[in-house]
Amino acid sequence: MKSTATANRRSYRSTSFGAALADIRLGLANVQLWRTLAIQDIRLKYRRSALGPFWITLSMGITIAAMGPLYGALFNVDPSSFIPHLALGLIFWGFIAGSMTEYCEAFTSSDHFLKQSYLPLSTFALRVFYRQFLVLLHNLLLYPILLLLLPIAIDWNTLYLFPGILLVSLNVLWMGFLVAIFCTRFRDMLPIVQSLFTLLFFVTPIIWKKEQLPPARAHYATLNPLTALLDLLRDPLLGHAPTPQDWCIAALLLAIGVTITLPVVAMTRRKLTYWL
Amino acid sequence: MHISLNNISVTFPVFNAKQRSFKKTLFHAATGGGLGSLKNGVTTVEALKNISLEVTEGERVALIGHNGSGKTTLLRVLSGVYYPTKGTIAVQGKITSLLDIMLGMDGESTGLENIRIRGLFLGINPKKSQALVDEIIAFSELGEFINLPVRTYSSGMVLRLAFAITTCVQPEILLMDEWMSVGDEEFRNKAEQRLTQFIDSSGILVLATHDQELAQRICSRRIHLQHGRIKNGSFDVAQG
Repeated sequence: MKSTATANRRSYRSTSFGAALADIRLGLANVQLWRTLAIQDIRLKYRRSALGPFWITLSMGITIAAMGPLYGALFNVDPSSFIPHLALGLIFWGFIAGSMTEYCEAFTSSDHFLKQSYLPLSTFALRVFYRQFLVLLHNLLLYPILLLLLPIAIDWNTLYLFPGILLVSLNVLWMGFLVAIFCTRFRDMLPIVQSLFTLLFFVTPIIWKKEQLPPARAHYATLNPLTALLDLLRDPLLGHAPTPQDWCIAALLLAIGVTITLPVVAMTRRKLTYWL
Repeated sequence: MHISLNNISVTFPVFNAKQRSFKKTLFHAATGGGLGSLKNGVTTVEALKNISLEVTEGERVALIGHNGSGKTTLLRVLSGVYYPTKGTIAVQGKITSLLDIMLGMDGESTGLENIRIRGLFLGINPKKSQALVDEIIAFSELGEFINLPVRTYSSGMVLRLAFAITTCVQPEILLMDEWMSVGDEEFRNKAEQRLTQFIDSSGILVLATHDQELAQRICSRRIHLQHGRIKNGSFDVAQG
């Protein structure tokens, strides 16, 4: 913990902005800690159950199997193209929206750690992120099954998934960090965030496709930044390259997000432990 | 190693459900209350007031005071948990904070996993904690139990494990909230010995306690806190 103590000392002296950067740097440096905590979170949740963490995979599989044919029939669309769209939509939405609701308790659920000694806030932000990322990996185990059952073309475009995941993850991190800070200060943010993302679920193309909208309306769907984030992950796995517009929206969102988040972390870092 | 507090104060905001509410805050702003009056609406508690303190290497400081006199808050300021609302603080040295020795002990994980995780919190990398495992098992006398989930342990066994992990690294600046007493008669002597050794190897000790006699025995300097202030004339140095 030598480095912690050193930065600790430094953050006493330096500006609060320096303290925010030090917090993030120290959190990133202690990879072992947040990874171990995240893995422990998942293992504890499913310990002593027969399937273990594969309950995550199973429940997602059941949701897809139930909703796929139902909504396919409701909207009268071709199941072979609708079901992969819905399945991957649900999986990746689960990653983005699930992260946000989990982030609400990122700091409040770790108050005993934060009140014991100086620990970077980013450690706990990264812990939630990594936990949700592991959940995503479990859900992605359904992808090979989809490939077997449905005609999905995998080609070189599938490789776009990797830069896609990177860009989306960075966006999830800044949004989560902000959500976590606000939820620590204002305890009624949790239901607000939950209802917000329930609403966003319906206005983001998951259970419907952009093509089903009249062209004039489809424009709005593409402007929804969450659509762009979702497309960056979903399109490669469906064998398409995400559109340049999606990349631009996601990159712009990241730039704006970081510009907002860093000052907020700087302003609240020293006060946050008082709010716990 | 050095601790220097210059005229620090700590004031807690006490949020009730009303101020915790984002909706209320928005509404407040919208009705022209402004952010300033919001600040006035928050009740505050002054936990520490104008504390100035210099602690140099080798000192054993006891913080003495009643419940609510600010002992734990002061320890938290020293550990970096609370950033003082007024005044400046400078700490040189690696801080080991033992406000709660049970911190992060997890019932569903095995003893070994707990050693690893607690080690990470104490800043010991897994390779090094691996090397300390044998010593921890030997000291805590857990034997084969180390491979079982901690929930199967008796409360005495959990304490022994927590104690053994916590005291396995050399502290520079050691912050303790109350003296640790662990386990049955036989183990208590062993623990006492180890704790004394642990404290002796630390550069600076700050111990918060109610126990005057203990403070007299262990510490070279006693500081009386009352209502978040250092009580006048209490800067005494214990004899011998």
